[in-house]
Amino acid sequence: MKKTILFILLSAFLVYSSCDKEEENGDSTLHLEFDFQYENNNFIINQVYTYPLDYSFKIEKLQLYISEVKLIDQDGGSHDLSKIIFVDSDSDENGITTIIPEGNYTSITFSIGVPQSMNGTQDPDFEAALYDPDHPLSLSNAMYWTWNTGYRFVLIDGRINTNPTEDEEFETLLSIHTGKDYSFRTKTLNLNYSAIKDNAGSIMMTFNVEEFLAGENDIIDIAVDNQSHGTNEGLANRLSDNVIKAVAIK
Amino acid sequence: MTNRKSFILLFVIIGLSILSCDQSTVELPSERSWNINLPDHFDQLIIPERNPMNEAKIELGNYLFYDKALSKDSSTSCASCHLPQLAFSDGRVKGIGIGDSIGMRNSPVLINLAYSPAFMMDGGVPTLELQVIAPLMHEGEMGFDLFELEDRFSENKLYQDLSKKSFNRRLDAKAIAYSLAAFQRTIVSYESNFDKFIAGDKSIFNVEELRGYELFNSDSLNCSACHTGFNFTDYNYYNIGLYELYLDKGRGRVTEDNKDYGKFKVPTLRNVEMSRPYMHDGSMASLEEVVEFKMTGGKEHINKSDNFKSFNLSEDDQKALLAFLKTLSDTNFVSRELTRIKE
Repeated sequence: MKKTILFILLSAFLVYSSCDKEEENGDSTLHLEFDFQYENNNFIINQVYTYPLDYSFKIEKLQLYISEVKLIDQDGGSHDLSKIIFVDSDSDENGITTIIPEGNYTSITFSIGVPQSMNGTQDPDFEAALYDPDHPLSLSNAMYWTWNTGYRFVLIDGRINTNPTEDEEFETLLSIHTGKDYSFRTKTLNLNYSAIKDNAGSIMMTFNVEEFLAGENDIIDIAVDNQSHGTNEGLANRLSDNVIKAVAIK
Repeated sequence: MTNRKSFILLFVIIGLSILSCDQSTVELPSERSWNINLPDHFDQLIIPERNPMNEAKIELGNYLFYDKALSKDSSTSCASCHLPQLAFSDGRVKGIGIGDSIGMRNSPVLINLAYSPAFMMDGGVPTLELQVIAPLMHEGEMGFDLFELEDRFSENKLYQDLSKKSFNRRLDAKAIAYSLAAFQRTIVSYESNFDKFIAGDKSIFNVEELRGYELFNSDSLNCSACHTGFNFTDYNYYNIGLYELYLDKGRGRVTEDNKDYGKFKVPTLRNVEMSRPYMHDGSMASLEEVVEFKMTGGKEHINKSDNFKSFNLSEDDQKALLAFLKTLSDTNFVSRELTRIKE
């Protein structure tokens, strides 16, 4: 009899302790997703696009870091979503799922790039080799500049065809890798109340890839200005300014 | 067969089985800490707290240093560009990596790295643990991925055992980086004739070498303004007017400050006799050529250091200076146990 009672109590405890913590604490699941667009269509790696300066080009790789993502609630309270996210435009697995308290959120704040505290440039104790393969800052993502102890923030690699008479000659290399602390940009975007539901919400962050290079206020002539590897601060800053402006919430 | 014979046969079979057990099991070094007795004029080695030295770790780093399996196509090891007999340089104008790709700069010596506050000729990397990652991953050097290396070595019993002893973990990215750094810290050169001279053996220098030493320290040559201290470097960055226009920005590549264009870290002069060719781009084939260049005071460049001025030297004094530089050669360190090539 004692054993039976003990068994029942133990079972009840196990069931109770395995209950979904969301239900217990009023938390909600939130999906943060990323979407890349070009000319109002899904952006496709290696697709040939016509650049506003009348030459064609294609992007072979587009990757970036988003960091310090926070939701701001209607009382001005800040809720951390993620410290650092690695986004590969060619991946089907972009996005994160996290738990936040239920409530009404008015805005989202985020940065493009790796915060100084994680970027190693000032920290002699920085440990790039400690990150596991599935960590956003893992060396496996090939975003770490081994020669300069820091990460690429936005990586765009591609090819440009500046010869309109030759369709297949993408002879000019496009390779702009921003980084170093001066490339770090932060933005806050308003959220529509309907963007987050009480129990399961999602936020879609959209990147307008066309405006990364051909920004609203600054069209980079990529036939001429097409190389930056932690160097060429001017070009890196132009791209960084364009990218942060090219992010919106769908 | 009688029972007695069967027993003997069984005994022999068992004995042979025992004797034929895996002979590749080596006796591993211990986790004992590693020490070195340096002469009084040397500072103590700077060892980071997070990567203390022990014999097993150094042994692991030693094996890895010479292992071509560290490169993507298993053609290139660290020692491919850092040969012990050349003071851990390679005798080439620029390093050559996988696929015969030519490196950006001349391969530097790996001597007394424990004292260096920054790594690469432009000082872009602050620690040796981070520096080892650079050639491992660079597509023009060894071109590999640290995590793929973990897979490649997952069945290597020796490495796994050494890693267990060193770090109490399987060989992973950190163990690879840390053990290579630890091994390189053991590459210490301190037994040259110069060191013996400083330690008190004044008879070890001949007249010519003494004259060369005097010239080296003279205000007119000003060598010791930058090549100073027991390691013959102040670890600072200078533009010596090698070119009027530098293709390689040097320190400026890291800082992106125009004032740093053409500046490179002062290299040690220890074993300089063995580490030709010279300069960041390997553009000078001999020490004689270097001395002749230094006599000119270099080309005009806005960032050229004020330490660098022209001077005159007679032929005899040039020979004396070279004779002194050769007193910095120490071949003992390449024969020391922990720097030998592992079979």
